[in-house]
Amino acid sequence: MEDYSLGLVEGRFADIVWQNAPLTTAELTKLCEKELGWKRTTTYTVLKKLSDRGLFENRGGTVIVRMGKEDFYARQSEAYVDRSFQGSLPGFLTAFTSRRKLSGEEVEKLKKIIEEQE
Amino acid sequence: MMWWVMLESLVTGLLNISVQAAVIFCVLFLARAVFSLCRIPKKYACFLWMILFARLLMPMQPESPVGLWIKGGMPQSFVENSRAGRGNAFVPGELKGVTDGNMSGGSRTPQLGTSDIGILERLWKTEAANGAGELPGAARRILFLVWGTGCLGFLLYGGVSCLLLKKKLLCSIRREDNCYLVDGIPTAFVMGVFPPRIYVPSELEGEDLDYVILHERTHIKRMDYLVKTAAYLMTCIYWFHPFVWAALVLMSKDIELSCDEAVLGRLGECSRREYANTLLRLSGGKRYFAGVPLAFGEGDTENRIRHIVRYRKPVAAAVAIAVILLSGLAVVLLTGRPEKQPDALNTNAVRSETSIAQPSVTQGNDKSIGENSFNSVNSRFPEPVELPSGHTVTVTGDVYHIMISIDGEEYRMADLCDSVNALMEIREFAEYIVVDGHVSPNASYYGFYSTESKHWVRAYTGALLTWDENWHTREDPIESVIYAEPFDDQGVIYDWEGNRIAVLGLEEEYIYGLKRVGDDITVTIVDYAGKSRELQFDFKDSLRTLYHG
Repeated sequence: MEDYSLGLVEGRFADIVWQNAPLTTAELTKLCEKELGWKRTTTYTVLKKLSDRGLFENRGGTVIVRMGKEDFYARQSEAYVDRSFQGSLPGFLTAFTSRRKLSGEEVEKLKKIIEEQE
Repeated sequence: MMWWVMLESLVTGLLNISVQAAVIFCVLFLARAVFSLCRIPKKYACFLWMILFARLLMPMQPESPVGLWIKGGMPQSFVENSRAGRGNAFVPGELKGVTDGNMSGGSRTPQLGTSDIGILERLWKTEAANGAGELPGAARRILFLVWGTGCLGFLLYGGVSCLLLKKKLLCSIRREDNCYLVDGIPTAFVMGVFPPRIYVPSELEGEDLDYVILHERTHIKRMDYLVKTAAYLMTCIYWFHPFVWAALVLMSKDIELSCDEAVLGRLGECSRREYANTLLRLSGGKRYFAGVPLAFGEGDTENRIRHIVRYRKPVAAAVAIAVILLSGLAVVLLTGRPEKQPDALNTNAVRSETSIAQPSVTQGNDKSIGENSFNSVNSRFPEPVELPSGHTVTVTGDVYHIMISIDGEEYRMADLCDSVNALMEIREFAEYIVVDGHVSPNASYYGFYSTESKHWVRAYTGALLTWDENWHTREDPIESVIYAEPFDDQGVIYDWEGNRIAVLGLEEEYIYGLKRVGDDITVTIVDYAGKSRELQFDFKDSLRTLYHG
C-alpha cells in the first residue's frame, strides 16, 4: 500500500518542490538550506524518501514532479493515516508523555477529574 | 596477578555498594511515601533519588560521626553480627578461635600497597576477597564476564537506540532556538547534551505546542536530561540490581511530576486546567500514538493529571521539613563513620582472653623476640605498661584511633603511620621504646621512640625487624637493627639505614625469622608447605660480598 501521508516537515519540503519544479538538485539543496536550514545530505535523504512514495523523481540531476499537490492531498484524504513509530524512545530521554496510549474510558475518567477541579 | 587483584577489588567494591544501595533504596522509598503524605512537592522526591545515585557514583565514602555505615561498608548491626566471620585477627574484641580458622585465605595473598586504601576498607575487601577466593578462578572469571557483558549490553542498547532515533530526526525543521519540529515522532522529548535540543512532533499546534515546549524547556532548565542520563549510566553499571532499576523508574516519574510543578509555577495556577487538558489530549488522541512499545511510563498520565489538578503551592513549613529531612538523610545514608569505640570494660575483658593471633609471617617475629628475651608486653595492653627502665606506656583507643602515651606525653598512632590498626608489641631496647604496629597480615610498622630526646626517631615498615642481642656492647645500639620486607620474593635483608646486607634469592619461600647475635645473623626460611630451614651468615661478610663481590 502506498503511503499518502506527509508530516509537517515533509510537507514544507514538498511545497518547495511543488512550487519550483522542475529544478536541479543543486538549486533544491540551496533552497532547502535557506528555507529549512537543512544540510545537503538531509535534502537528498528526504527527496529520496518522497521519490520512493511516487511524489517526485530525480532524473539525472533534475527534480520533476510525478504527483501534483492537489492530486496528492486528494488521495491522502482517502487513505487511512497510521503513523507508527518504529523503535522505542530510550528510557533516559525526558519525553513529554507516557508511551502508552490511554483508552477511551480512561480519557473520560481523567476529563472528569480535570473538570471537577474547583 | 595485579590485574586480578584490581578486578577483585572492583567486583567487591560493586558488591559492597550494592548492599548499601539496597538499604538506601528502602529508606528512600519510605521517605518518599512520607513526602507524598505530607504533600511535599515532588521536587524534593527527585533529590531523594539523587542520594541513591550519588552513592552509586562515589567510589569512596566520606566520614562523619552520624553515618549509618561503618567505614568499610556495612551498617552497624550487620558488622556486629558478621564480625565472627571476618578474616582478620586484628580487629579488637575478636575471639581467637574464630579468627584462626579464617587466616589461611588472605594472609598469603600479596596485598596492594597499604598507603593507597583506607585500612578498614582493606579489611572488608580482604574479607570479601576471601569469600570470592573460595570460588574457583574460572567461576570468578565467568561472573566478571557476565557482569561486563551486561554493562556493555545496556550501554550499547542506549547508544544504538539514540543513533536510530537520531536518524529519524533528520527530517526536521528548526522552530526557534533549540526547538525542532519533527515528523513522525510520538511525543516531544529532549535529546543531546551539548547542547540539549527539544524535538516536538510536527503535528502539534496552538496551545498544545506552547505547553509542550514550555514543559521541555523546564526540563532543560532543571537539567533533568543530565540527571536522567547519569542515572541511566549508573543503572548500566548496576544492571544486576533490581532496586537500582526501581529507583530509575521511580525517579523518572518523580522528575516528570516535578517538572509539571515547575511549569505550573511559571504558568500560574489558573492555567492548570488547560495544561492538564493538553497532557490528556496528547496521551489519548489517536493522532500521535500508535505501535509504540510499552515502557516504564505506564499509567503516568493519570498520575500526572491528578497531580496537576491537586497541586498547591507548598507551605513554607513543609518545605523546611523536606529540606531538613533531605539533608539529614543524605548525611546519614552517604557517610561512613569510624568503628565504634568499644566500651572500655568489655573490651578489656575480651582482650585479656585474646592472645595475638598473628599471621604466619609476623609470628616468626614474635619468636625471635621471645628468644631475645627483651622486655615485651605480649597482650593488648589493657593496663598501663611499666617498662623495667621505669617508663610508662599507656595505650588507649582502637583501630585507627590508637593513642600512645609515653610518660604522660600523648601521641596519635595515625600521625606516626596511618596504616596501623592495632598495636602488637611494646618493647624496650637500649634507650628506645619500640612499638610494633600491625599494618597488614604481612607487614608491621616499627616506631622507635627515644626516651632521651623524647622524640620518635626512626620508623621502619617491614615484616620482620630485630637487632643485636648484645646491643650493650655497641656504641649506638640502633645501628644493629636489621629487617626484611614483607613478602619480598627475593628475600632481601636490610640494615638499620635501609642498605641491603643480603639477598637470599628465595623462590616459593619467605623469611620467617631473623636473629642477630653480634655479627652472626640467622634467618629462618619457610616454604608455603610450612617446612622451615635456617640460613646463617656473617654481617661483615655479607657486606663485603655485596660491595666488593
